[in-house]
Amino acid sequence: MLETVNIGKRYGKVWILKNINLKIQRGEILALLGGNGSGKTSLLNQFAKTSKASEGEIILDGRNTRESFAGKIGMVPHSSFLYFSLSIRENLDFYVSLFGVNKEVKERRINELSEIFEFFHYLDTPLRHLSEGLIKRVSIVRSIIHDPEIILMDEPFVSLDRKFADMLVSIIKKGFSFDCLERLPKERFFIFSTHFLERALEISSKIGVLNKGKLVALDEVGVLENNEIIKFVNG
Amino acid sequence: MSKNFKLYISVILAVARKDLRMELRNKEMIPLMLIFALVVSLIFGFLDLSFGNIGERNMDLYSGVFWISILFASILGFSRSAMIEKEAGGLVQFLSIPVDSSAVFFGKLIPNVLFLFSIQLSVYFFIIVFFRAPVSERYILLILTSSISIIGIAAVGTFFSTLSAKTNLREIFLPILMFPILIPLIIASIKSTSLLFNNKGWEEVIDWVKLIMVYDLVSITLASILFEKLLDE
Repeated sequence: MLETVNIGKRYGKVWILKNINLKIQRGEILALLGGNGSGKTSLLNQFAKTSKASEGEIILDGRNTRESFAGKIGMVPHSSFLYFSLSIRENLDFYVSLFGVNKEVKERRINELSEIFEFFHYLDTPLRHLSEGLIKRVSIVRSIIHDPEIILMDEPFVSLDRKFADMLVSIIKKGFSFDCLERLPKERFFIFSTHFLERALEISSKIGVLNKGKLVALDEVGVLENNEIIKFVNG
Repeated sequence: MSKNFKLYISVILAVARKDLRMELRNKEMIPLMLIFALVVSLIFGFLDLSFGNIGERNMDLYSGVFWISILFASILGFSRSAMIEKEAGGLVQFLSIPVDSSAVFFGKLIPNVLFLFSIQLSVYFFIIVFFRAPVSERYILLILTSSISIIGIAAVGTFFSTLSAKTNLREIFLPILMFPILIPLIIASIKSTSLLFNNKGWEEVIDWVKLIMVYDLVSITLASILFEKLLDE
């Protein structure tokens, strides 16, 4: 189980997250909804351990140490975490090397995932020559290529056209189940932020609504009414 | 060799390979550092001439010019190296890797040492050309001694450039943070190269070299331990 216990984050005197308590089981998909500045990205950064909490903690299977999270996180961040003078292959190769994946598996994953996400023919093209949508797809592949246990995506549908957004929905629903990845969908945690309510309802099993840094609603999809969610999002 | 150690080494090599590949492709850092080192050497060359030292060989000056050129050029290189990561979204991405973050430090240190090594060879060449410094077999010793110093400069530079990349005034902060820390190393380096330029015996140089080696060891150890603190936002 992955849980946050009273997570709070502040910059100076301003709290951007306050008293966040939520739990997510393996196999569950949690969508974080909220308006601009509601704290979605900040909460994802807490899960990714890329930002230190000002208070509270995040616990994975009862443990909150760097080791308990090390190598288990894959994230699609706001910024791409990609190097634009390197090709897609070099970027993916570099990233997956940080996790000790052997050469054979690495090449298999790069080839298979680039076929699925339709950028195989651009594998050796530097990122600076590619479109925003394609870079987003590379960023998505980068977040899953080391087969992480916790997948976090910050606004994954932004920059994707309808075709790839639908494709991503189907991939998420199948729990990122690919031949080249070993982990089963029920072994993963998936948390994403979005401001597309329809997408959140379509994919997730649980919805958390953030407003001004506070978790104002958290429940399973179907329990929260749509207009109720909209009301929470709008404060 | 344990699995963790193997992974640690492979992370170091992956980060170093990535930085070297980016520099070879972009060809930004080394040409910039070279031009800057050349300009600094030239300025001191003209300064020497303006004091009327025409035709005289000022061995101590060579040593000073060499280290000032290296130091100023290194600022450009370190600054750019840290910006590469900043532009890609920051070093925070390395917080989730399954090995100690010091591997990232060593991965970034290796290319910085190699860049400075190539700059030092060029600066020696400038000094021979512009200052008419004598060419002798002692240049092997000179290169060896200055290479040991360069490791310390690169360690301090890698650490402080990562720190200063977090600020908006990184070009100002980097020398302000870096230069005072480097003072003992620079004094020892100037002394050792000056003695070698003046054809003094190795027994006179060795104490300075020992001091440089201790500095390297301390700076690498401290920087690698503290590096993880810099990765956080």
